[in-house]
Amino acid sequence: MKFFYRIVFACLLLVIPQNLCSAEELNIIEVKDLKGGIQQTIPVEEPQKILKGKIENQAEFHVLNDIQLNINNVQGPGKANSSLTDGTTYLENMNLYGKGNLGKLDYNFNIGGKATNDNRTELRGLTFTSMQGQAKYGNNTINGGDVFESFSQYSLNTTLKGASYKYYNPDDNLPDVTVVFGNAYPKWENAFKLKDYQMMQRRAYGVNLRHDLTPKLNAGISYLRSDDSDRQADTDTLYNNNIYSLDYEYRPIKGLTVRGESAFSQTKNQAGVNEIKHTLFGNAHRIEAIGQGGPSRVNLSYERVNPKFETFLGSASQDRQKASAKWKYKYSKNVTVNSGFMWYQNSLSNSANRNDNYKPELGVNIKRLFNRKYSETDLTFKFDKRTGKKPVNFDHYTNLSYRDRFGFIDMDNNFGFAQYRTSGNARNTLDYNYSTSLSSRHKIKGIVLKPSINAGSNFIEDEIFNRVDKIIEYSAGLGLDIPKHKITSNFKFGQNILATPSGDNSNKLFSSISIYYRPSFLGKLNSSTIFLRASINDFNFQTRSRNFAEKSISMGLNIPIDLFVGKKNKAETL
Amino acid sequence: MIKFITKFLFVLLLTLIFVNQKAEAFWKLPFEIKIGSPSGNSVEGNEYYQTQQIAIQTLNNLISAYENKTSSRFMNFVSEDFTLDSSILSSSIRQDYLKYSYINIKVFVNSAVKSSDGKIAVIFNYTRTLEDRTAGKIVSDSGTTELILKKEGEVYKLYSMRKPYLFGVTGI
Repeated sequence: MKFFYRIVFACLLLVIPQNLCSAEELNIIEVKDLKGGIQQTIPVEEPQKILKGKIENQAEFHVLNDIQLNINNVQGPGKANSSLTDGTTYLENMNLYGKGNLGKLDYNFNIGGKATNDNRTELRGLTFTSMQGQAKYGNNTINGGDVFESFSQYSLNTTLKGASYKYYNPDDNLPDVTVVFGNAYPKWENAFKLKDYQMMQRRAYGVNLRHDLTPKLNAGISYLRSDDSDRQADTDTLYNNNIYSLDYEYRPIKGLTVRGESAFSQTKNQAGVNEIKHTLFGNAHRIEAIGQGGPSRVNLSYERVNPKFETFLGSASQDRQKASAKWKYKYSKNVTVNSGFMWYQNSLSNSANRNDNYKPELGVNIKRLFNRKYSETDLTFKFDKRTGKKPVNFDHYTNLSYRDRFGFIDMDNNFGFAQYRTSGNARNTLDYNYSTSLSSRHKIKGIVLKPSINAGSNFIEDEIFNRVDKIIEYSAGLGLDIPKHKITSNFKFGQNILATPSGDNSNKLFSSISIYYRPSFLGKLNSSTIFLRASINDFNFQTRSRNFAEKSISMGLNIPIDLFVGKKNKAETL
Repeated sequence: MIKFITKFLFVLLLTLIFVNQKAEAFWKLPFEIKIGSPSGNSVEGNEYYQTQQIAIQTLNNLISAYENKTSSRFMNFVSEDFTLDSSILSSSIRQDYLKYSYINIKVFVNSAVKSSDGKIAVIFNYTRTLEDRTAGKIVSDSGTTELILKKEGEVYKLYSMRKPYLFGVTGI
């Protein structure tokens, strides 16, 4: 498999330009800066691509290469808790993008891979990050590689490593058809079953038909099957799952939309050790009505997901039913009131374990408070009550935020108060939190300065154990850009303090600097970027054996290369 | 061998940078290959590239708001149609903030894929460091997960999460 990787990387290298030509040949006007470097390129209009009635084949390719060297130094007795890898590591990330046409066939693709010796970034030295392509011929589209076909929420709503076909014609009265096949793996290395990447295989097949039945009604039906194999442990349970789904959107009158989905699942388990084989039949339904008229927008929804409903590639909260109502009312140009209520219930088939959750909320948004042009205020109250099977919770949150601009300073303040209570005197906690953010932007003789300050605190009072935990966090930053020399940079310093009477106090210091430079001397590669990043983080704890410090320097180069492939000697264009 | 390939690649790219003004074709092809953006179509115009940039930007917005423990800002990047319910996620996020006094997440985006209905799936590796306030310890984990983003107005927002969940770790 290593050999396969190397071949692919070699292929990526081979598409790097073979013939490098001047700007005149490329129909580009170069705007030079004072030192003669290229400051800006302006493309001249492309000549027509139709040659004697035939479509000329053209293609363009882009290679993005990002290489960086990281030097990390982690010291201290608690260094095992650091998220950095101690020592020198490299990371090479390359992506090839291409698109073009062969007659009436349009294609588009992206292949990406990375190389690293940092085990925290990736377990293997060479890995694929992305492989996806599309070929389109008229109303027919084929996708391959990383494929994302979003049939519906309950049936298929995730990526597959495989292929799909779609027929779509807006002008005929036939339904749109999508067929998909693939494996639900997070990485290509899982699909290749490489060492350290072996996992259970979930292979999916599906079809979706979607059609505008009337100008007001659109509906889709989906079928999806998934089969598991490659058990990794004797206790793993594998499944065979079928999902049948119908989703729809109906707009009977202006301002009213009704949409929803009903899905049915059949799930068989391939029992592991100490398990009994069974087949489950489940169903899930959701319906939502959205009404909009005048200053009001009302949203009513209901959803019920049966405890036996299983979707492995869709999305649903199993064994739950919920209902909600939201009302957004624009009282005036500057005042909007939001209110809502949600109820949900878990453990539908087991009343002994059942609990009900109630979540009412009310909020008001006020713009131009005190007639200040940039001011915006948000005030919200939320309750969260859980009853039924003990323990019972009663939480509530109050939040006030205020944004404004004073002179050249943008300000964002946030104050929150929350109370968390659990029955049986299990919890009674008060949380006071505050955060503020100040930022501004100044331009002085071609230099852009962007200073900022962020500060926040949490005081968490535990009334049962009679203690107060304090969390204080602040940071100061300065962005410094020199557009003329294509330099952007950022400096930041911050601290996070945890003071707790019963736990382990901590004091964490952070500082970082990053500089990005797009030098003109790279000629036609002048959109390349050289970067340098450095950081020092110091983690100190009351228990000194946990202390550690991180120093990190990263430097690298980002090179985009654009290639164009067209016919030689194109004498005439029409 | 990996080191050799990396060094080779690096040297090749440096060579390319410094000789690009005068370089000639390595071999003759029946068509031209040109460097630059002859039609003004740089990589920024490529649909796959655009999708990746949108995904990275949205992911960074979500992580930044989550790390800064500003729930209202975080929820601004969550879709009203969030499949596990935005109100339930909001409560879960607050429970995360109550439990963890320090949150740091580093991500490496592997790929971003757009569906025909405009949603974006972003698949990434993450390393997450959390300080558990009550247990008095730093916990770290890493893995690969996927988020689904959906466009609302002009902004892409969080529409769905696959397990392991990146946000709402105390339970949704």
